[in-house]
Amino acid sequence: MNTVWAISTVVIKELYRRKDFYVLLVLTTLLTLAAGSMSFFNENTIVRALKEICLLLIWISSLIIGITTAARQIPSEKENRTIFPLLAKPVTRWQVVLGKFLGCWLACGITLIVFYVFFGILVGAREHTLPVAAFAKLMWMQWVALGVVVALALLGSVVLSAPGPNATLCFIVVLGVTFVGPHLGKVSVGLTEPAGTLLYSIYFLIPHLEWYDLRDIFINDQILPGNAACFMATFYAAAYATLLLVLTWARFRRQNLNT
Amino acid sequence: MHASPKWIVALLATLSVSLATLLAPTAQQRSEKRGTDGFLKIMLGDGRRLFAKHFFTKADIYFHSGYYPSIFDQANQANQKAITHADEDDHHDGKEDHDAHHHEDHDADHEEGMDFVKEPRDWIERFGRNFTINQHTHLAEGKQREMLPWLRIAAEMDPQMVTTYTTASYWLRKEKNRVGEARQFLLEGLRNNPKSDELLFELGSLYYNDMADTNRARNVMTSALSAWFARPSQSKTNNEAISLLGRIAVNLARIERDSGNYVEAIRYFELGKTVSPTPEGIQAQIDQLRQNTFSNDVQNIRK
Repeated sequence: MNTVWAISTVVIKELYRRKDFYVLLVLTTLLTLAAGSMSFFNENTIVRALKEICLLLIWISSLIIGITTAARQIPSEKENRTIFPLLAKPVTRWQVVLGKFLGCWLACGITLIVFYVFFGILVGAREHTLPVAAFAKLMWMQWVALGVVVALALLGSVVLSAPGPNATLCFIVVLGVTFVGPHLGKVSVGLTEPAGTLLYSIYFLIPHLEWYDLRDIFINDQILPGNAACFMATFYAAAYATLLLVLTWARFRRQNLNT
Repeated sequence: MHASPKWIVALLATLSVSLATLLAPTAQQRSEKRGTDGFLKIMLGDGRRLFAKHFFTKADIYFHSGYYPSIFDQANQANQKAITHADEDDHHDGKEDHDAHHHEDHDADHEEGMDFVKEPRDWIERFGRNFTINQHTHLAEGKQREMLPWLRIAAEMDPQMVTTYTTASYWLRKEKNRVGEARQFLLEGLRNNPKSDELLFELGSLYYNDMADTNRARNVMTSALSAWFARPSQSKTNNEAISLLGRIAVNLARIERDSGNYVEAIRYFELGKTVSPTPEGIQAQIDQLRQNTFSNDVQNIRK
């Protein structure tokens, strides 16, 4: 476990050494503040649109950080040839995969904490309330979803050699799964066979990341899902992340690292 | 020879002021030519209309507290509606008034469209309901202001989308009691759509109901009526146009009635009656006015 933790800390250090996080944080802050400074019909108590914009930016930023960080981990180790001394420690390939995953996921968590602190300040300043429990649930669910995304990007990084195409593909898959995935079941009803069954099977196979996006519920002041539902969803995401990590390891352990 | 930094700064300042005075009028002329939507038009082209529609829908989503059908739900509903209508048509003997089916009230139709959540078909859908909005509620009193930013942005994106102005002004007037802002927004809409009878009607209604300015209300409502009659003949026959004519006529009649011009009021009520779904109510008002006119005439004779 120490080995896995040591590898993951390197990934976390990489997060604050690189500029991606700072740039995204500054962009999110500036765009949100710019949106907040706008006045509509001399009404200064409007807050929902601002919350929506800020949460959207947080989701985009965290996805960018999660996917790009995970996508470049193994390819950059191979390219810089640092993978050889790492594996000679001795460290098993499973530990490398797990360490990289843990590092990326924790890095996403740290990023989310910073972003949500800013969001909390914003909401507190505008609404004069701070629903900490709701924020925690919102953040936890997003972090859980990012776990699946990071595992997916890691799998992509051992299948595709370059981080660029992997990151692009991951973005397409994640957006597709989040926005189209939940409706595949409905769409499959109107289709002829075998297309209907095929689509319905895909609907069952894909991870339903839309469950973790609680923005609409929060923005519209609706009741957030209960703890039991969140726990079940966490278990579901953990199962998918584990499956993706096992697939990553299965591919990585047979990979020739010299190519 | 070495120039002092002070002189260099002074020279640069002079140059920048000269350049500004040279360029400012040209830039102003160009921006006036392009109009206010110049930048968005250049950046997005006709695509801004799609964005405008999106933002308008966003305001509607806020109004329904996030409970809103996705495009897939809407497609499903449309399919089911088509099947239901086909079934109904099969049962008809062909002599019934089919138009009655199409004379549905817009709001009722909209609310009916909100009944899109069906029984879950599988465990994913059932469990997923924990993470979606499943209760149809509307924005509470005073919270309707939350829709306004999206309506404002929709108007910026597509200044020709008249519904944006009328919807925003409705909420500003009714829910927020911000008559001044509503008037300004409607005037902005009229600048962009000078021949819009809907906007003229809304403005006239605002003058009459919220500002009690009968003269302005009459002028604007009369313009609305003229604009309605100036419509191309094919756009006069749809339900919304007919309903608008009725509302303009009835409001004009009320304005004239309040001003004591009963003859004019009767004339407008008669016009409203021809397109009203409830002509009996209007007829009662006409009868009342005729009686008033008769009483006035009798009083005048006695004098």
